[in-house]
Amino acid sequence: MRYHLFVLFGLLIGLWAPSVQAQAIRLDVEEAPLEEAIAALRNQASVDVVYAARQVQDQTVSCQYAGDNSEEALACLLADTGLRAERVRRRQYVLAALPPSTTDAEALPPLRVPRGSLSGYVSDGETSESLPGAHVYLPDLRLGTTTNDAGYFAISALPIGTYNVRFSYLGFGSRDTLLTVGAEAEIGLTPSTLLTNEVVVEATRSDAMDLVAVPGVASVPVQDLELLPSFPGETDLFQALQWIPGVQKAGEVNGGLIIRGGEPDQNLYLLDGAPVYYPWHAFSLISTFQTETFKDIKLYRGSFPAEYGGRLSAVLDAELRDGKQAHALMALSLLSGRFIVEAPVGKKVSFMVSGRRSYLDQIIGTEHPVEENGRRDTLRTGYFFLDTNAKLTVRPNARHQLSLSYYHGEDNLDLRLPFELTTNLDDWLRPLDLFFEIEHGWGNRLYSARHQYLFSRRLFVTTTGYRSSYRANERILLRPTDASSVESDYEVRLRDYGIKTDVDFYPSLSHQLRLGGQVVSRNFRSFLDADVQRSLGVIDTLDTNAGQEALEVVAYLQDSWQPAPRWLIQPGLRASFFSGGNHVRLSPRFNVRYALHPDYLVFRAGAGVQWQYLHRLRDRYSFLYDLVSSRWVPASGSVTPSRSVQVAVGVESHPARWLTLAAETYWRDSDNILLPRDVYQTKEGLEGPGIEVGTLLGQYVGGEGRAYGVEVSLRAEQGPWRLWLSYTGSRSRTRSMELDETIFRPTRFEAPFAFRSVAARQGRHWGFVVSCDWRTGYPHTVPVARYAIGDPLDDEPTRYLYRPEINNGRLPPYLRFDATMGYRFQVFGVWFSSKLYLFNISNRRNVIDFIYDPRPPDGVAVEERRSLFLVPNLEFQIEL
Amino acid sequence: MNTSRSLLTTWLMTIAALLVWARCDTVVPVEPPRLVVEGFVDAGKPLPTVRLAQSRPVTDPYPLDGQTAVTDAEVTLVMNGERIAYEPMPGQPGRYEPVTPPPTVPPRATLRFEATWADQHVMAESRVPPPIQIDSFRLVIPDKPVAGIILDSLFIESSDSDSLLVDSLRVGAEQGFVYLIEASLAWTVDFDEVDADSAYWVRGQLRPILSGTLDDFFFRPEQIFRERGARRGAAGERRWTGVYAVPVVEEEDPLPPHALRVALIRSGRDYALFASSRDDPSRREPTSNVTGGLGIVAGLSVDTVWVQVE
Repeated sequence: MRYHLFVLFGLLIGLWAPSVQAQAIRLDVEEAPLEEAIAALRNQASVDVVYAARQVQDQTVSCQYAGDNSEEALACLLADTGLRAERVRRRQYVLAALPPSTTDAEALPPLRVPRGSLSGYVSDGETSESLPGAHVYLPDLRLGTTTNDAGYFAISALPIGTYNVRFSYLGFGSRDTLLTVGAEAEIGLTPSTLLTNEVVVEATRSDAMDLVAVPGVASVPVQDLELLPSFPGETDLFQALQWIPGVQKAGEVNGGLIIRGGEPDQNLYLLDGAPVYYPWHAFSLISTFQTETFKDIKLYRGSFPAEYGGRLSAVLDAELRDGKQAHALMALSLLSGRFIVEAPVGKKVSFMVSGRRSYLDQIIGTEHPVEENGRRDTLRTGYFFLDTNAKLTVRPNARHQLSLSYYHGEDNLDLRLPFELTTNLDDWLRPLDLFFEIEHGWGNRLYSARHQYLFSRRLFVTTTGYRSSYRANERILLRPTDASSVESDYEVRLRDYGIKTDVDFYPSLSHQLRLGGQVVSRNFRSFLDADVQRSLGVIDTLDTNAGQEALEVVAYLQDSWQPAPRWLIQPGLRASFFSGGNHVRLSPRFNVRYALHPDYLVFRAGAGVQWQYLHRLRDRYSFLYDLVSSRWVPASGSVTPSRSVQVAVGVESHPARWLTLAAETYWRDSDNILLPRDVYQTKEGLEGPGIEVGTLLGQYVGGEGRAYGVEVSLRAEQGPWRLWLSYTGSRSRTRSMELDETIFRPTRFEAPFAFRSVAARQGRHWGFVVSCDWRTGYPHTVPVARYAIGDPLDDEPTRYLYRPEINNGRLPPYLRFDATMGYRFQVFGVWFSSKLYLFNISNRRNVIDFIYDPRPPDGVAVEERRSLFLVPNLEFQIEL
Repeated sequence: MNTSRSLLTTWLMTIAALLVWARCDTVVPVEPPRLVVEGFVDAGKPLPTVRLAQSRPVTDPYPLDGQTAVTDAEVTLVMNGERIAYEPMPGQPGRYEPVTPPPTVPPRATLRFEATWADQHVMAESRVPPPIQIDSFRLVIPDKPVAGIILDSLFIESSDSDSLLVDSLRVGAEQGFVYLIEASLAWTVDFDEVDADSAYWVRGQLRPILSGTLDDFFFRPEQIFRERGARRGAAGERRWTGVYAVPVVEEEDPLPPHALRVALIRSGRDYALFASSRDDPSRREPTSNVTGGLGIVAGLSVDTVWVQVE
């Protein structure tokens, strides 16, 4: 079937391909107005001639021409007008005045009129934060570009002159201005949702997306993400992203992100260009990314530009705010407290610091001294998560900018409790003889430095160096009897040192090159030190460690080519070397955009090959390790890198300024992914097979994956109102030939149909959001028969279920409504706001699993497991 | 504009086709009765009987009294290349015995079991290990019980992410007293562990006959392990020590007298996988080595010792 889609892709590309045949031109005009004569030429030759009205005003021409050369025809028309035609790019010309001393246009050497660059920076006019991906468009030339990560843009080789330029960015009001070639512009855009003193700026359609060639990019303004509901009422980036078509969480409220059917470990999370390996708090309940700390968030769902790689499914690229405007925010919810402080320091330096910490442990206490009959003990009930972000930006001059970023996210669980927990505290609030102690901690720490350098107006260089680490430790002390105990200390570490350079080069009007390289050194370690004492005389000791190192070297080149006003073609190639196994892989990428009409219909298509050298795996046997953590295992001589090939085709339309419609289809084939050798195997004992990498890999087999689907979305924004609707029809399948699976079976979180809606009204004081999430139930393995089998050591056979196919059935459909209501007011320039969040407002208890017990002789007993009930949360916020 | 209209039409039709395509959902298959076979071929013993039964729909009762037996199958066992026909045993529905007087099973014999019933043909292959024998056995019984937790399950399964917040900590624990009894076994390996002989697995089991059950999560009444990795004694003998718990109500209560069966099984990987995957029928069925059907036919060697513990 995949071939059918490739054929379809090819056909669509072929359909859109412009005609390249030369056309016959016949001009016969006598004292005709120049504007009319040019119009006649446009119609016959399908060329685009750009001019200012004053240039052609009151000009009349006479010309007789028959042939097929549009340049000769133009020269004929412009004879004796004092004008000449400059070829801007294929089939496009701009009229320019002849030098005063020249009377005959043909006497000039062709194409030697001075040209220059139109360049500058685009930023948020409110906060002065740069706007990566902002749209810069020259309506007269029907030519555009987008800003890079620093908000810089350049359009090179423009004939000297002054041009009308339109700047726009999703979520911001567009701005039209006149810019002269050679001057450097500093453009500020006003947020469309900005609440000024009395006026709500009208929302704008997503002009910024018009110039994006890559299908599947979700670039949602941060202020819109803040509106989206997220459990449990925290401002959480990943929760908000779930409302984007094709994105879902693995569980109801926790679990990793599933993007277009990919596994969570197939997503790359970048923070200021550096990877974060496990960006989750509270057992994947919420992410470590606070939405408000970012100035730009891009989610690539499948087709990445060549600068990205290393994952099969998706890339999330988030940029921290620079802090160029003084701003402070403090908020307190039932779960956590947080703050953001940002400000410029002088004209060249700015900073942003944010923090968040849960505080439940501070309320109920982390340590509880108990005493009984003179004996003392301390019970512990500690759990907290925290994250901090800091960024310092120095811009000594217009050419240099240096940013230093720091990120730290951490979770800590610390319990010392008796086994026999009951609601009657008197039963167990006493010194402990038999108890369990659990100390689990996990987190990421990231340091990065980025230097952005405008080498020349056509060359922009960004260099990023970083250290990213992930660490998880699991310490357990169990004392189930006076003569037995379990004491275990397990730790996982992953550390990256990386440096990468990205170069934006603007060689001509039609081409924009992005090239770069990256070198990453990775170190993987895990340690286990455990003593399992079964009785006084039986003690098992486990003391092992495992480690690997790997170097990855990457180079890429990508061209953004605009051969004609309606076309943007983005070919790219990424080459990578991975030292584990000495793998060398090429990743070709190809994206294309065709604007049938910039407002009404824009087509996008993309195809690419992705490689992934890391697998995130978890031991499936032992409770002593990988209980809350998992391990990244690099490719090696025996572990082949995973590969995916994806094709996506999409269309976007803006039938009205307030309305955006989009549809996209995709197909992705993956191979060499790792699947569980035994899906029924779950952790069941203390001593597992060990932490050696080979042992872990033995629990998995190589497999293939296949995902395809269609996503349709509607986005309406009018004044304070927002309405987002999306439908996703998708499939996600895997199989392993090592397990003799000849057909693909549904993955654990396949949801063939999903419908989501968000309706919001954000007024000056009141804000309301109501959302709905409906989807098909997840796959479920349904037993089809029952049988009994004995054992040489058993007295009678045991009844079992027969489940020949994995995920052969479905849970009932999932439906949930959430609501948010907020109120804000201003006193002495300070905004106070409160927000009530209600998760599952209808209190519908969705079925999330069935458990079958085959042992009753009369029939299988079926137990339903149900989802969360209504959960409220309240947040107070103060903003300066 | 005609081109754009046709493009849009093509596009919409493609989307509609994909929607219809995606509509086809998984269908739960209707499963006809499957043949279930059970046979354990013990080294050094006469060729055993085998049991044949059929599966039933999950909604039907599944009695263990022979109502599900398969009595009209054709059964053969090929041992070391010699074909041995089986026939139903009179009065024992589902049991099949060799037609001729059963030969003794030689160590390292290759086995190929085949059965045909109702258009189903099942096959299983295995290999008989060398015989195993418990050479020595020692019990360590404490004088007094120790305080202990009668535990159901402490942990939540974090990999099944949607279980979080739903199950909470499923602690079905209560405090009592237990006698922790250690049982040490020793056996001899009188062959070179090379090639095929290096891949044997051993299952040790302590099975006290007691009223009531106790979760043995923290103890070790049973273990399946590679024989090569077994602890070795001074004379090169292999050793395994298991621990089982006997609960009592009061700290002063004496150890309840009970019978204890001590078992040792040597097998290949097929039986080891089967035995290690049959403890939790709600979660999974045991790993089968039968092609085309269910169950197991495996070569092994069993030795058991009964003791009275007082």
